[in-house]
Amino acid sequence: MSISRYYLLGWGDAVRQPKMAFLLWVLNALSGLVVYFGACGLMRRAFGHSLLGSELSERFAFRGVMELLQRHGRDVAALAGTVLILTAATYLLSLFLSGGVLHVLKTARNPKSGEKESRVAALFFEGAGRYFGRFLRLEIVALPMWIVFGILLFVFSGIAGNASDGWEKERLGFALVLALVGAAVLFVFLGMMIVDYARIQLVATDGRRVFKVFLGTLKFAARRFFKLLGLAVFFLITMGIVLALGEAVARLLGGKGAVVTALGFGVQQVLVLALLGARIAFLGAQARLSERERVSALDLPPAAQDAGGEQKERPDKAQSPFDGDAQ
Amino acid sequence: MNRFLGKTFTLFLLGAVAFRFAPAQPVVAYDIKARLDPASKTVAGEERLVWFNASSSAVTTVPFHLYLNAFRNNRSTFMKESGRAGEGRQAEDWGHCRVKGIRLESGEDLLPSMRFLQPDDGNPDDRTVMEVALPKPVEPGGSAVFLITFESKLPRVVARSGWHRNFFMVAQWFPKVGVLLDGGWNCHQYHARSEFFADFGSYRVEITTPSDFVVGATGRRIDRRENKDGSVTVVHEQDRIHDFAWAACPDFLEYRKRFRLEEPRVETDMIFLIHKDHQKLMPRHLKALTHALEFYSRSFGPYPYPTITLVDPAPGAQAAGGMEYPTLFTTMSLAWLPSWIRLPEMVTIHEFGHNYWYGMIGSNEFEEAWLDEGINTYSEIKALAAYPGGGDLISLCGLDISDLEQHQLSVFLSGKFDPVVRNSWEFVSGGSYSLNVYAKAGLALLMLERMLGPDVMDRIMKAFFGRWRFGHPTTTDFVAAAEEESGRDLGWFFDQFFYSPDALDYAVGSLSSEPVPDFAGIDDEGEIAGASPASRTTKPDVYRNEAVIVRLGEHVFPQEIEAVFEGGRTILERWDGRERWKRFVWTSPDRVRSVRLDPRGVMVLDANTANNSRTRERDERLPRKIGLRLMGALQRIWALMAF
Ligand SMILES: [Zn+2]
Repeated sequence: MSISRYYLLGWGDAVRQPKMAFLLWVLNALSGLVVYFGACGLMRRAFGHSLLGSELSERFAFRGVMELLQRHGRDVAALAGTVLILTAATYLLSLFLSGGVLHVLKTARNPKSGEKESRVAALFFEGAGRYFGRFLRLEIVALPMWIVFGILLFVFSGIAGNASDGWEKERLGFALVLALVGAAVLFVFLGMMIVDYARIQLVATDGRRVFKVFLGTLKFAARRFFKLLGLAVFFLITMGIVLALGEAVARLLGGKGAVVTALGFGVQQVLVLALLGARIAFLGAQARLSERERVSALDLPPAAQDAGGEQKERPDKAQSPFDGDAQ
Repeated sequence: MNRFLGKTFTLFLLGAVAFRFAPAQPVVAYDIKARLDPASKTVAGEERLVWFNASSSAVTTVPFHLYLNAFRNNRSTFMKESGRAGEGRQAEDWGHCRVKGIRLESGEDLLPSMRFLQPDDGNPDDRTVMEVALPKPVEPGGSAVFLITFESKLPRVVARSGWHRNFFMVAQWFPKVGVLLDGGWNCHQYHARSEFFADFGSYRVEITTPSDFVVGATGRRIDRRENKDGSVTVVHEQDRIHDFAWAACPDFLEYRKRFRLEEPRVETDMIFLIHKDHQKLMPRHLKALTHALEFYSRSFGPYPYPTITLVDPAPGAQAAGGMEYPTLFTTMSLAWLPSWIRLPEMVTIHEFGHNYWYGMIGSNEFEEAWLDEGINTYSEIKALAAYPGGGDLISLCGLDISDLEQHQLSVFLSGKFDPVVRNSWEFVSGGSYSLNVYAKAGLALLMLERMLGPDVMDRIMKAFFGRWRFGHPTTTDFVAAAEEESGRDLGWFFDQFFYSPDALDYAVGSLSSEPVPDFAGIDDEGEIAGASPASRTTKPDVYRNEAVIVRLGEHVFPQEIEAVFEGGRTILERWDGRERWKRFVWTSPDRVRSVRLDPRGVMVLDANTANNSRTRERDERLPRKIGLRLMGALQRIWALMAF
């Protein structure tokens, strides 16, 4: 099946789960509100009654940044700390949430009698809880991969440094720095994609042998590298468009009348929702691709090797040879 | 220029702008033959120095700077002060200046009397100042002729000079006599945080290098000859200067362009030695130097020398960049630097500017570094503000950072430890040195300009420059010029901003507007009158508007206070700023909307501008805007990593 077909099927999966997207948006927006009130409070304390504040609301003035750093460094640090904590929490929560998302998507693809859409929330949290431990172990199992990526980057930067005479060939050096940043982004992206497919496999098989699944996923990713990458690029472009729209809306926000601001805020939230939807669609498409094309006997139960168009019913408990207790 | 003469002339010609002195009698005349050996990174030199005693007392000893000995080992005062102690330096990275012979032209050998002095810190390991004893005194008006042979081993580029691969920046490289002032010799050691001081005179230097080297040097080239051994010798000459530096590299591309200005009349050759990897930045340096020549000539006085040479250090030799020498300076380039970062422009303008503040105004950089760096920072801020096509240091999609703001940031993020006027090596840290002598001094002058008005400041700068060109002025001389030209006592200004580390900060402490209640109580007729509760519901017709202005900093500065009322009426109040606070009350039918201090933006050094104004009602636009933008951005990031 072609990449574009997976892409469309993924979006189909996402569109069928509006409640789940909404649930994810609520969590996202709650964190956002914490930051909103923190930033508002900081700005009020720093510039609330100052004409400098009015000036800053109309145009950027470096003067304002200076005052903020100089007079409210602690508050800025506190806000930055809050953002970091929320980001870390989002990451940890992602281990929990992705189990829910994948479980809901899997159940939707293989509906069992009695499971209705109205039970999305219950299904979601059931999946989230069931896979959290395994996903956490997966993160640990994946650590060596990240270390290898890090070592590769280190080696690359050494080579780049040599090639540019210790960065003294400034033009070449600059191009190589850009290339290194590109490589780093690619590695992060690849790593996340591999973890995605490993999670998909864990959910698809309900397997517990995280390490084996991870190894299988690495093999699978290597075999189908360009297809996986192609699908990812489709979604990256989609997300890029949504992000660009978000940025454009953000520029219209604030400093204007309350109505424009409120409108902008609303559009912004719709875009965040769209982004979350795109992420669900991405996972959905990856799950379908994985189901159809991950044919290794090592890590798939026989049922998944069926090449048919629509997925057959999959037993709740996977029957893969490695299914058993966690290592 | 001798100070007494300068002041006498001033009395006669007070206020004369186009007023010039013939240069005073030169104190030194150097004739040096130098040969660069790129393999051993050494310069072998023969120096003939004629030195005149322009002071009023006889001398029997003569001190010389041997600046390169700062890099001789990790025990030198420079290395100790810089805290690096030379760690990681390889054998070939060290540098020195060794005097192999020194005698008078009349024959007497002075080498046996040579000894090293440490006038500043007594560090016995420091060899950056040497002294020789003369067989007989040099009387006032007399002179001595020294013949010196020396060898200068250049360090790997460090603090302005040295070598990097095939690039050589040869600076502070020859035995250089101290400055004899009326109080005695002024010959400081080389410190990590100090620059230099020397007498004006003439230089003639013959430089011999391998033939593939492109050489740039102070002054104009009067000869170039190819030698039988395959080397090339260039001869440079210049008078009315106090130092000589040169650069050599086979990878230099040389460009020349004639600069002409009608009013005031200036003609000079711009010479650019651009490293081949930085060729693309050549147009940027050309534009910056052209602008600088025009701006400084018009603002302070015409550029008088026949040449100005820009040296672009090789990649990796940035430590040699951003440094000034008479008629030659080093700039900075990075091949990939985008045009919206105007760092090369800033450096080119600044270093060229030193031809005025350092080059022609030969102040003592050891003792009063602000006189060159501070005045030049002030000039640089103004030159960049007038830069054709915009002179913000950074300007990208509405994110603009001006040179002024950049300097303000460095002042405000620093502690209040040192005053501006202080010996360079006595600042608590390198940061304190540079923020004071560059940023704080520059901003203080900008403040002076805004306080006195641009015309008066223009007169001050032109008078100071005209009066002290080719002389050694001090802070006192600058203050004198400022007071004479402005006709005002400015002691209070300089005492605070140049001789004290304290801060300037005024604020609007509070602002309120309350209805004046209707009369209540016993009136003149003895009747008891009172506002009926009903009168509260109608709109009151008079308000008591009150603002309290407070002085939070130690410095005192006269204040202008602008109150804006609803309906647009504006009131301007004044306060001498001496007390810690001052209350203003305006009783009127309209309510005050905002109060702003310093509406003309004079207080450039005010430590906190956010508190310089206060609105009665809070403006919610900024908090909302920042809050929403931050929230939106994070929501998008979290959405991407959400699960
Ligand atoms: Zn400077």
